[in-house]
Amino acid sequence: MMEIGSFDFLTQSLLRLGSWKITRAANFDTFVAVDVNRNFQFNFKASDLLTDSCLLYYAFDAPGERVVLINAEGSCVYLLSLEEQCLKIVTNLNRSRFDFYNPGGLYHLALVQVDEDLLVIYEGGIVYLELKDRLKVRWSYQHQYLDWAFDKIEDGLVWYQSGQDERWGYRLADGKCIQLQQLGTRSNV
Amino acid sequence: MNNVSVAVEIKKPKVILDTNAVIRYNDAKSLLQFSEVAIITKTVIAELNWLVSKGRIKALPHIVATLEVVEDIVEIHTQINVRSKIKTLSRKLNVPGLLGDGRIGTNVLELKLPIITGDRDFANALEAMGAIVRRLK
Repeated sequence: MMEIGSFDFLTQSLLRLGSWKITRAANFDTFVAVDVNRNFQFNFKASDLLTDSCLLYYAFDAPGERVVLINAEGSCVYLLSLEEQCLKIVTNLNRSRFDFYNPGGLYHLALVQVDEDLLVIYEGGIVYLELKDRLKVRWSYQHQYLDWAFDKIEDGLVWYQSGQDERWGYRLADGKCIQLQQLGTRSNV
Repeated sequence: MNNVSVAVEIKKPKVILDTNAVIRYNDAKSLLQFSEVAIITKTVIAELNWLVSKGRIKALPHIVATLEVVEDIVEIHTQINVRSKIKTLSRKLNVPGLLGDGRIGTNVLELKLPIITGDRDFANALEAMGAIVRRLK
């Protein structure tokens, strides 16, 4: 069973994941992971894990002692292996740097569990992560439109809806895009 | 005796949508309470048009046509205060949308209406200034 959540390292100090406690150093780029059951600890460094935003989204795979970590506004998907005591980048996300002229709050991130796997849904695309055995990207899709919104998972598809009320889906099995359709009609899948 | 019918205008409570809440309207509408009406300001329209011009949205979202658009309240001191508060509370050196946030935030504070936004810096600032903020996750 996966534990999914978010944690703000600016306002909170201790992230608890199973028997592990993770805290950050004052410099924001070093972390300490402590296993309270085994009385064991290790440090890991991630200078770009907490950049502009200190809000982290996580998915904790308790049996495997693995954590998928993503900054709310960051471009990297990290895998923290507590058992192997290492942090690595799994994939990069298609995220823009929004500058002074853009409206605020355009970043959006959600982690959705699909069976034993994980969907990373963000404002610039979607990534299907297989968590079985070795974590890997099964498929991903990038887009430029901020108003393409995740709707639901149904009939083996990840359904999306645009600001113009178009609907379409990505097949969970292989990421194939099932063509755009108008709301209220269902195409053959 | 003649029947007299009296028309009573029922004013529905209004909630301001930030630009990102219009873009994510499917999420935002779940934060509207029964009988509440979502409104936007002209600044939101301007920001949406900016995103269209930059190719970040294809066109104005359909929902915009159904929303009441209100004139921005021009209160320069409140605008400055909102921007200052955002900069004070944010860790970012370059805060996106500061100008628009000042204008939209002024409407929230002056009209004393709740706002729905997914902008954490903006939300923190408005809450610190006494506004009712509903946050998009």
